[in-house]
Amino acid sequence: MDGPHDLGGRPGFGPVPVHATRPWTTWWEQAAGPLAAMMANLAGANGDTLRHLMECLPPDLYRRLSPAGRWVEVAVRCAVDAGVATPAELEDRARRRAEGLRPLPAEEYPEPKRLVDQPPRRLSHSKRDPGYEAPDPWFRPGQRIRTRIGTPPGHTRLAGYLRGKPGVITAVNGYWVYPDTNAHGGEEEATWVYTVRFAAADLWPDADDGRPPPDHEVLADLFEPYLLEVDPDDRAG
Amino acid sequence: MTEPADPHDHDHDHDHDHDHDQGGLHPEYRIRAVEEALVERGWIIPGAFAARLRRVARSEEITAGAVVVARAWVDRDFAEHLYDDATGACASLGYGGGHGEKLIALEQTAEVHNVIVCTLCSCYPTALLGPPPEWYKSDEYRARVVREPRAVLAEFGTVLPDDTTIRVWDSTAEIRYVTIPRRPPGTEALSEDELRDLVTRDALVGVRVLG
Repeated sequence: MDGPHDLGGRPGFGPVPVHATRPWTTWWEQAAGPLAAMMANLAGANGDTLRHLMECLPPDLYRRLSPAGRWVEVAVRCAVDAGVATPAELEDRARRRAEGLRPLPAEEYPEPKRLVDQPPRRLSHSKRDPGYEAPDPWFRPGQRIRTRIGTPPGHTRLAGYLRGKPGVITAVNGYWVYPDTNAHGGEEEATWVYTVRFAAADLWPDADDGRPPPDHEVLADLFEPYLLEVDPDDRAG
Repeated sequence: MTEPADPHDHDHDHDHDHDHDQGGLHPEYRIRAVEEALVERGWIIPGAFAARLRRVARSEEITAGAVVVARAWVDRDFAEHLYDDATGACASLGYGGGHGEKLIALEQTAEVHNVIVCTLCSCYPTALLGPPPEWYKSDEYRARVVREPRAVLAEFGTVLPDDTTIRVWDSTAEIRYVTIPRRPPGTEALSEDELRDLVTRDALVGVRVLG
């Protein structure tokens, strides 16, 4: 999906905050990520689902929040999904905290319902070499490819700026669980992952901002379904 | 809008007012609300979340990355192992784990300079470098470094020769990259321990060079 998270190459961003050298500066910023991971476990969400939840934050909210603020949003959504509390209870507890009031016992609030089918589980990211019988890789190092151009409806790790672009396979990088389906539940599928090298001049061929065309390279690890064979007669790339 | 009384809330060099949700409550209260509901409903015992955070806090250092780089500088066999199979080489020093990702070490040379980013979220070689700094997670870095790496590196004070090829590695799968900086000149007499002290996190991400 095209979400607010897909930032690579987007224009309009200012200087990098190079002086923000710490992972966090406050207690809550440090707590946000671990809380999100803990709530994802309770909600039975895997690592790919967790990423997708962040991608699905409303774009204006995503842009307004810091990375830690985004994790708080995801943590609250997972807590509600897991049946830890209703949104109204969490809102009320937060408000009482803000006003310095004592916490209320659980009986003071309506019983929350679990909103997801899957049981709690330990957070696992898309695993490496999950032990499936792997077919031979479809592509080989040195081969020219083109990435798919369409925008998948759900989670994907094919960044927008890398879609529909010519590149070269530089390595076969293992057989991994496919995040595009794993994020949406069901059976785990696995695919080959390839490192693909792109010339920046191919990624941004129409740069007309007065600067010389970019001369660097971008490399990304892409799952096999993202890649298309290039006809040997296709001179692109 | 009420601010929480937080003794750790200091050294704040940028404004996080934008982190208040639509309801206007500071995110600290929203985190406390979830923790409170977890305790009140018996999901966790009091103090369990604080204990988890203490474990996270201990990992805020780049010691592992510095050990690996210094070893690679002084031990040619280890360096070869590292560039061939970083997961295995780092495991031989006791480092790795995390989410079970595969590690790849990229050698910085005069010809090729490597930089790491995650444009889609904030993937980072935490097994070697600890949690990522705020600048690495910033929208500015994620948006710009793949498009104009020289300009971004210049903001870190890093200016590379025009004929150096820059490779930007976007961490889009579960493979994590570290760059192995070039050993600074004039360090031949230093011990492996002393060399470790020269290694910085930013050099292992590729936004700065050493020496």
